[in-house]
Amino acid sequence: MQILGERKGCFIGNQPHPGNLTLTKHCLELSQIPGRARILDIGCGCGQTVQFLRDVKFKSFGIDANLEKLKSIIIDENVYSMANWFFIPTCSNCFEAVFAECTFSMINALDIHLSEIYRVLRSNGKLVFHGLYSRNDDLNSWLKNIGDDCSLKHIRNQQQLVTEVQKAGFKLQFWEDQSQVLKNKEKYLNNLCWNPSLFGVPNKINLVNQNGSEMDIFDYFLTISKIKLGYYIAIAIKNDEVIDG
Amino acid sequence: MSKYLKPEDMEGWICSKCKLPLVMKPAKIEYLGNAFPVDVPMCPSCGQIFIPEKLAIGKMAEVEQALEDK
Repeated sequence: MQILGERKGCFIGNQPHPGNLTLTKHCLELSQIPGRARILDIGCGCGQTVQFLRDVKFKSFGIDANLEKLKSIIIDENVYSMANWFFIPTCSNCFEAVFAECTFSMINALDIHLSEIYRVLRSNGKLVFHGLYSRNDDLNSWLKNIGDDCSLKHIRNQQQLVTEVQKAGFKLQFWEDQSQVLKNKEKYLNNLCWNPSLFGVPNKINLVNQNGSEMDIFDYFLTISKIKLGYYIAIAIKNDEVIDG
Repeated sequence: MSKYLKPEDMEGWICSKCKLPLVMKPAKIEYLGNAFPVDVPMCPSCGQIFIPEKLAIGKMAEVEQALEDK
């Protein structure tokens, strides 16, 4: 069974998403989720979003696979659970909304994760998701250069994300580029790209990619640049007609 | 030795101030707010960095261009 990040070094989740609560509030306003709705935050980390949603009177819950992060908050077992992407420990048709903040770019089998989100959402439930994406249409030719342990290995461009979401039975309601949230986030981006062992090797200087061919630090930086990192927010609605029809 | 610099690229280079042969040491290279660690020839005494022409007009220029295109 794979855990939340699908790999051991799931370090992105240890830091808040780049837009912080400001972006979460923006998404909440756009989504027009009815008051007191039940909302699940998948990959809740330390529970910042869950707590914010509770403060504004939603019935929010959080799941995260990282035990260490959940240990850092006062565990209310009625609110937080340990769980992975693919097995959400709740009944079907349970939530009016699901939040997925800065998580999709870390998931390889996104289709399975989306089908699980679809299952737990009620009819016409909202999927509010945001995160890193590539603004390069020819993404795959660059992704093959980076190691399996890199946090960017499963990043997708807009077309790929929209296609996956639609295939899972959602109708995309809203998409907005929010790449400005990455400005002045050098530390975040540096961690994302250059944290030790992210490329599967401990030494950043003498890097070897998955194919065994040597690549140096400039090759990797060139690759990261060509991926053209951006940030998006999006809202999709569970479209029962697509799946049931 | 990293792939972007070969031993012969450093041959004969000494620090003009300290008169010491350069050695490969890690340095942080920053451009447009993006920083990354690179092993470069450096004076072991004063820390002066030397960027060989081959690197400056080669891979380093390529990365600069990619960043400016973002």
